[in-house]
Amino acid sequence: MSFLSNPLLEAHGQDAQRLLEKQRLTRQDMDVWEMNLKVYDPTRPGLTIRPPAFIVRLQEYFAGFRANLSQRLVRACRSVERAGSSPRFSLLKATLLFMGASFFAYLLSVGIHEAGHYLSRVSPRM
Amino acid sequence: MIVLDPFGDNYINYLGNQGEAYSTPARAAFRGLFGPLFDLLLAVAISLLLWRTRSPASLPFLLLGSYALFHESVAMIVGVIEGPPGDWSRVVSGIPPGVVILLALLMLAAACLWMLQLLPLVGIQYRDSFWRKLVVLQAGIPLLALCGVIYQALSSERVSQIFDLVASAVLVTIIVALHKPLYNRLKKISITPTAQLRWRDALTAIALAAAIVIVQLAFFNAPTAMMVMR
Repeated sequence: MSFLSNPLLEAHGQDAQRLLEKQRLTRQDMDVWEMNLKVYDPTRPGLTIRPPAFIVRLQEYFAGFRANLSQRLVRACRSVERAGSSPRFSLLKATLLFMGASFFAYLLSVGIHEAGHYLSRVSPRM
Repeated sequence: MIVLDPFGDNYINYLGNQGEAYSTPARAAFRGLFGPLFDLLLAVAISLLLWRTRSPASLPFLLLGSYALFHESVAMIVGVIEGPPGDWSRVVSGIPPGVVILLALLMLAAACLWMLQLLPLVGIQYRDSFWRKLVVLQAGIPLLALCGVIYQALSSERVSQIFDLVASAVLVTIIVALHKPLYNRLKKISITPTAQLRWRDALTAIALAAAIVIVQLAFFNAPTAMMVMR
């Protein structure tokens, strides 16, 4: 990979080229910086070549956004998970389940009881 | 004609010759007994068939046997105490009342044990607090009876469900109080693992309850039934 094939420097190639010429860099220096750029990390101090400020800000903004978003997602998932298993919600689930099951079972049982009476009365033998 | 009202009285309107239907004690006893027997046999059979694969999803059908035992045993006791026109008042004419009461108490005890065995399916453990268990169990038949009382009071009918409300609330409180002391004995009969509750099961149970209430109100309520008969 050549020095100028780095997307950041390709976009701002002329500035980088001028900077390199002004500082009379050797081929060895260029190789070292090229290696640094491959592993460029805006939070790491000590780099002599930095991309333009707005790129750095964009990178920092997106890095922060990504971190925030993932933290928020994790927090939301955890709160949903906690809500599902919290004593309050499990009590609500238990109450609703028992209520529905009881209403159904009792009303069906009463229906079967009356159906039994009905069958005994339509029986021709009695 | 069967009249079923989820918040009121349930009965049969016999459109034939009423005198002939109850002309002999044997006929009266048979007709009185057939409803409870049919209910007990069918409900207990359905619940026992599902017992091995018991889960929160099948709870509405597992409770069927327990509730059949409950309401038939209470009806037996009330029939003996109050006399006609209850089902059991016709049956017990030739049997000592004590025998019927004893049978009813045995059925009541079986219903309580049955209900206690099913509590883990609602996520209730024996070490849960008394109040937590009470809240869940009062949401069953006592709540249905309370709905009935309110419905009857608002529709200015005769309020007949107050006894059901009081009796079910007392029974449920007794069951909750018995849970912890009877836990070790219950384990010997059968172990029901505590279930992990899911919203899907709770909502399915609610949907089943809503469906049976709507069917009874729409197709078995007295005014509709009269229209069908025409």
